[in-house]
Amino acid sequence: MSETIDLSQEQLTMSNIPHLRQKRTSAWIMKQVIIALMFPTLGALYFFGWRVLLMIAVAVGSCVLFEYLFQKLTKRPVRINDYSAVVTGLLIALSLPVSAPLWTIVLGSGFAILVIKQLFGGIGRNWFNPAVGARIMLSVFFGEQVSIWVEPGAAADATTQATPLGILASNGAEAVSSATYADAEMPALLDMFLGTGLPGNVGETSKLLILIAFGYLVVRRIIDPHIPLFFILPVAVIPLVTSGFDLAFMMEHVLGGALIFAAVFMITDYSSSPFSPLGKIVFAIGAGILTVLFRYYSDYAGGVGFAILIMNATVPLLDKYLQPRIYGHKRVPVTARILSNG
Amino acid sequence: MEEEYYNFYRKEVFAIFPKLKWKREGAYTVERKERTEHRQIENASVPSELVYPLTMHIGKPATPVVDVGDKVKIGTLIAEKAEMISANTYSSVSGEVIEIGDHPTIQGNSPCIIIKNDFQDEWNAPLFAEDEKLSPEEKLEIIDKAGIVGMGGATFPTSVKLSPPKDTSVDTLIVNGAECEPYTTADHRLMVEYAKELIEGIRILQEILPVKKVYIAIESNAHESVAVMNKEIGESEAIEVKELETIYPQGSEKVLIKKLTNREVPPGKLPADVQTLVINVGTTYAIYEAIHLGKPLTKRITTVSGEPVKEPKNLWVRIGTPMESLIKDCGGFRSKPGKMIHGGPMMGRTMNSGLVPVGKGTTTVTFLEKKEAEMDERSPCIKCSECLNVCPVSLQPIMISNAYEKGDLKKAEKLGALDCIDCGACSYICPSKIPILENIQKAKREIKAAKEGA
Ligand code: SF4
Ligand code: SF4
Repeated sequence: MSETIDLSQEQLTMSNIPHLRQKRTSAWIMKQVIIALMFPTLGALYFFGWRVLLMIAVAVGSCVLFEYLFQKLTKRPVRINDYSAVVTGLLIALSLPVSAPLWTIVLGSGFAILVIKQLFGGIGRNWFNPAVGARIMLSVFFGEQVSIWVEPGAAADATTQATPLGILASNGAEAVSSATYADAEMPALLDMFLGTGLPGNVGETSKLLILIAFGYLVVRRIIDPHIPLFFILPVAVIPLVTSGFDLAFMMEHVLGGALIFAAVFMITDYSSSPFSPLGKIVFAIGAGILTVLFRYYSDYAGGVGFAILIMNATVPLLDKYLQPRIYGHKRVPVTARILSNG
Repeated sequence: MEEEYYNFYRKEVFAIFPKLKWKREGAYTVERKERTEHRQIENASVPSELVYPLTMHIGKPATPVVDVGDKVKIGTLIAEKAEMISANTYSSVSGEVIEIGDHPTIQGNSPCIIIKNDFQDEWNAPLFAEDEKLSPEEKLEIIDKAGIVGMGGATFPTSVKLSPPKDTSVDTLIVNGAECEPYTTADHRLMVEYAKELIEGIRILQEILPVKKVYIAIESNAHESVAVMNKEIGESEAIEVKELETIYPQGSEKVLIKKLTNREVPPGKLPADVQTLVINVGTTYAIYEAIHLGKPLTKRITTVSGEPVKEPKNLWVRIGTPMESLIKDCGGFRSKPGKMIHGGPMMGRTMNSGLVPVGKGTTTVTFLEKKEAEMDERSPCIKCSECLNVCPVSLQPIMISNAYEKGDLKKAEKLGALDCIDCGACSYICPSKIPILENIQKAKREIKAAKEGA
């Protein structure tokens, strides 16, 4: 028709709808999580010194290496470029004390990547949260090596300190108390919030930095902000009620241990949480309630981790019975669905 | 470019709260309407040959009533509705029929009537005698005769829609001005420039269907049209402009009904079954022209846009004008196009021939750049649940897609594959670039085939 515009000369591709996709990719999402993890990482470096860097290097390096080797050996497509192994490595390093021997980090990384992630089918398929699994495995089998919490600044072989949660466990629930716990005093709430002078796992001490990371993830729309809140809710409410509305006691529970770190980085993990929106809420609240139970009735310091693992195991059930109601359909009551088996 | 940055800050940084990651039954897609939303509608040039497919509507193809060599005028009936669900087709120029045969259309090669323009622009007699006073029933007949179909892209014959089954009583009419497809601004400009005519059109609809309430649905990014329509309505209580959130697919029929009336159309039922009808603003304008001016449907507003287009425009286009002529009106390309889409980039259809004509449902012609036309490689699902979050009908898109890929059609059906409204929000949002909707559509086709076979 015209000399200048001849559409038959253009290479026009045909495609299925939609013809446009959003820009973000899975790898981009993982990179955002890594950026968010930089806040607690910086805190860990500041509070616990350069050994943190070594821990992270070992954890990230071994996670990526294990993933690479597994995918090579089983002749699967190598997908280390999706950065998910880096995230797992960072999470493992940040949830160990600065005194953790390097071999425990390698062992934990191997367990997380090979057993929990890849044996279940790789990214998006794993039932359990790899980093949480590694942490639990280490504390169960190598409790002695990974439960020495030192105060920031002290050398790695300095005196053992009780973490605030250990103190809570002994005071709050009359659990078996050791000499260390009895003498120890609860740190000031502000210190628990800022992480100053607080013993604990390197990335988990400064709640302030974790909350900044939370803000970043929310603004980037990587995580759903409601889910961490639903997780923390029971951990705040139950202690508040059982202690006769002692706000300080509540705050000790909320700020204590790995709770905030887990709320931002673990409970929001994609693979190991439910698909269904309602399922997600039940999942988070359930993990919160279990956390309180662990804290009340055992003196084991990794209650948060166990709570998450147990809830991870319920995900298939939650996904099956709490499916969203389809537009125009009537909601089938959960009971009816259980009776009709799905 | 600056505008893109501004929009980015407005949407991503300042307005974070409505944009939280949360079940939101829609996707915040790119909008990209800046280049055409303030451009007044211009008349497209009329080419020397126009092509009228016999299938510019849903239903049976129309039957040609002219022969090669026949002289026609603007508004001469050239093909007649074949059955109940079908529509008349009129010539949009004066001239001569030169061919009846296969020609490229959006459905591939299909039968068309081709008319050579004599550039006299002579009009045929109006649809009815000027001084005639019409009853509501007669008005409905005129709408039927004028060949009006859903002009938001669905192209369902409007007269059929306006005659709901006897046992239903429609009490709410939704006039759909929510253009949720990126780039599209045709309806927005229509509302800004022809508000008075639209209100007249709505009055006609009110006569035909005695409804209690009329909502004009407009997305919040089309501020200007909200203001204009509000001013035009004045004090009327029965008509109300509803400004809706800008989210895809806000303009979809089922979604609009839910958002405005909180009613849900049950599976396999019609909007009329929940006492509601949805009519597009373009259709409303066509109704106005038919009843007030006696003109059949021969032209429409089409947005021609996209990054490669030099001067994107909103155009009054004579139906039957080939794409090539439109792009010439827009000054050609400033960069290489990689895709030409009939409609918007979410639900439109790709075309690879510039000879495809504008039909009754051509809201937009979108051109995408080469780099955007290429799809990223698929990677495994990371279970981010974004596809669930955006699905407007609360399906679990990836589960249906997985069931289909495993060959489990039973499960796909149980998960609601047939309830999918083909909006594509799930595929758009998926960071792993999984062709979710493609799988669901295949599943649907196979489920339906199995049902018919049984
Ligand atoms: S499943 Fe269907 S209705 Fe849901 S988002 Fe995907 S295309 Fe849209
Ligand atoms: S299919 Fe895509 S959008 Fe849906 S959960 Fe998987 S990665 Fe996310």
